[in-house]
Amino acid sequence: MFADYTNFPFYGLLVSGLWLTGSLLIWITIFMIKPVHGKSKIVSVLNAEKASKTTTGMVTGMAGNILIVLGILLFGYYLTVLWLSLGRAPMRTLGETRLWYSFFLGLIGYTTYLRWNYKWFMVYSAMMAVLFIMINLVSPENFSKSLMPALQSPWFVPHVIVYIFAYALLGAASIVAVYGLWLEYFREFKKNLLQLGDNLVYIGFAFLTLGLIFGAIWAKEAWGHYWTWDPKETWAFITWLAYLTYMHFRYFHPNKVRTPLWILALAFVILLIAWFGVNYLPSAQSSIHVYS
Amino acid sequence: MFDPPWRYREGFLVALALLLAGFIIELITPQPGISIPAFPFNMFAGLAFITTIVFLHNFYRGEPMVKWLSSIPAATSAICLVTMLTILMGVFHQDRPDSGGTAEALGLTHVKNSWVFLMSQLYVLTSLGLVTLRRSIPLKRKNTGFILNHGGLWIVIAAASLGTGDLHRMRMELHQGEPVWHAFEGNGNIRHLPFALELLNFDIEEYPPQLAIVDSHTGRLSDTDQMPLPYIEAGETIRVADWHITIEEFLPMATAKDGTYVYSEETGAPPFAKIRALNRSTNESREGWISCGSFKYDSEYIWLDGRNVLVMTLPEPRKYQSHVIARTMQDEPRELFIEVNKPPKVKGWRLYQVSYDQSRGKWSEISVLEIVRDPWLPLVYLGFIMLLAGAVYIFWIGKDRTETVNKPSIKN
Ligand code: HEM
Repeated sequence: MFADYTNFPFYGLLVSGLWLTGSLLIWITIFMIKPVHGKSKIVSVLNAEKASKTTTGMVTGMAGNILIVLGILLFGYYLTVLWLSLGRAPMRTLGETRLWYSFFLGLIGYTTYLRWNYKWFMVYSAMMAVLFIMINLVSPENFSKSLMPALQSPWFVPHVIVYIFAYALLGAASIVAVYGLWLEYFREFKKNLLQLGDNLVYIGFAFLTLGLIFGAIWAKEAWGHYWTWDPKETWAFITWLAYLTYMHFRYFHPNKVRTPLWILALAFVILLIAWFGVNYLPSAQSSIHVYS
Repeated sequence: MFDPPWRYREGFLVALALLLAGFIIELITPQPGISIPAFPFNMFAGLAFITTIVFLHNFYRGEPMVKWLSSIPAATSAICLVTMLTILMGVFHQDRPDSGGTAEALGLTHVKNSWVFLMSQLYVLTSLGLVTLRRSIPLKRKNTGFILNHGGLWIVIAAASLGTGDLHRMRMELHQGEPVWHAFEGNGNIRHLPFALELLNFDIEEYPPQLAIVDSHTGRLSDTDQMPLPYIEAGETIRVADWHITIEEFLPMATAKDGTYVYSEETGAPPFAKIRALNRSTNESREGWISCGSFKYDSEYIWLDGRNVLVMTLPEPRKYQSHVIARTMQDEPRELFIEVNKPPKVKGWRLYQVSYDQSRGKWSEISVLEIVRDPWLPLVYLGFIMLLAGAVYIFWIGKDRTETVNKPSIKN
């Protein structure tokens, strides 16, 4: 009867295994690289500088890639099956949104790795994704098939998907912030790290804007007004403003390092409040958005 | 300080000044907050604001002050002011009638209508408006994304704030068979409407009820019910903990007759299910009928042991809708269906299905609607569309292109 959700441990553990092993294999190739003259291996690889690989490095790298792609496909398959068997989009409860979050973290980590060749980034995204899978394994939620009428809207699915995609990208940007702060204070900071941050924030912010507006249009259709300053809306807006500040600051001070990194880290704290914390604030006593 | 060029410090002082000014006005004005005037005064205010900005841009754009207003430091201080106020709004419980105290006097219990918030919006609109004009004249292709984002946001903020002057959201309660010509405003005032609605029929479609085991000591679901609660459908067999539960018969509406239950269309007839439960470790068995009850009949349940009870949950609504007739003085009567997420429109008012008599559930003879009039909505949506296009632009072009195309123009 609920075979779909009871299957989650199987898929969750398998995907976690694939992603962790895959990203570790990719990470290991760092140690099989001949360093660029005058730089440590780690620094040259972190910054995607050309370094010649050994044959073993190519093989492990390839194997890692295959495992990660398999994990993504498997997770995608599981989400499709879950969607079909529930007969509605699995995006209603906090647990369900966590599933999408881990899925997109894996996907984004991998695309970012392909595009900019940041190996450490793949490892971090995989670990974050696995963390969220584990949370779902430890505390499974009640998955009911019923969907209250207000959620039966064509705007529901795009609103949630777009938001979760944005959250995953901005979560990735927060990793950049933490890692960047560590490098800046304890090691040597590399400028193209902030460029990765910018890329993630620009795309994440675009999705955040889409999510905000889809949500507003949906609210108009379902509740009569596009913006009611409900606590969830209010915090989503604050999050949006925080990333807006980052973008403008970066544009005006392209050479500063510490301030934008701190803004980025703080913005993610606000994002977390918007996502989880709102339910615990005094202002949230009558929010329509508090998850069941 | 305050010698040109202005930078961040001046920006934050301006923000602070606006904050204080807002608080002071809030303190000395008698009623809490400010209400935006209705048409045409809100439109005049908007036009006056636009004229001022265009005037500043046209004749004084070289002035350090105007230049500064359209710079990042001013923009940042404005955004930070709005952010701070919004955070207060996100932390304090808003619009509670019994608030009072200092927070109330300063407007922090009704931030969205407060003077400070209005001040901060004006600051953002000035900065945003000036920078949009600066980048729009002369119009250049490379500024498309910039204009979509900044212009779109300007329109949304301006239209949404001015629009509150003409926004009406009212509650309308319909009772079957009685035409209603009025609605209630948020403060309880009655308003007459240019149309009447008569409820012909209220209808709920429900999901099937669900099966649950309740722990009678705690009054909550037993720990064994971790998984989604199963729907009750005839022929299903469900395993919960050691119990093997078979649903032998399911009647969506039924009443008692001759010691058993039979299908019935009577108003208030609740769903019934005939259950057989077998405990595989103790070999005990239970049998009987369960029901979630209704406003008219009690619920029925089965004790599994001294502590756990097998119950049927109240079915959740899948869809509910009001079938109404709308009458106006001039036009032919119109039949309408009002459903959640599908609000029809009558005489400029949108009708939203909000609630019904929950105690009677699907036999409710009452339907509660919210009716909304928002003539500024098209402008807000225009801004939304520009912002959506701007977001797609940012996504497509990313950071690198905008950076190489537009070098920061003000860097004093
Ligand atoms: C939808 C929201 C917004 C987005 C997506 C956005 C995006 C941007 C971007 C990408 C830039 C860099 C310039 C460029 O790429 O051409 C920029 C510059 C700027 N933005 Fe925004 N912004 C937004 C809201 C605001 C707001 C609310 C303000 C003012 C309160 C503002 C004021 C400015 C200013 C002054 C500049 C510098 C422009 C110049 O010096 O020419 N922006 N914005």
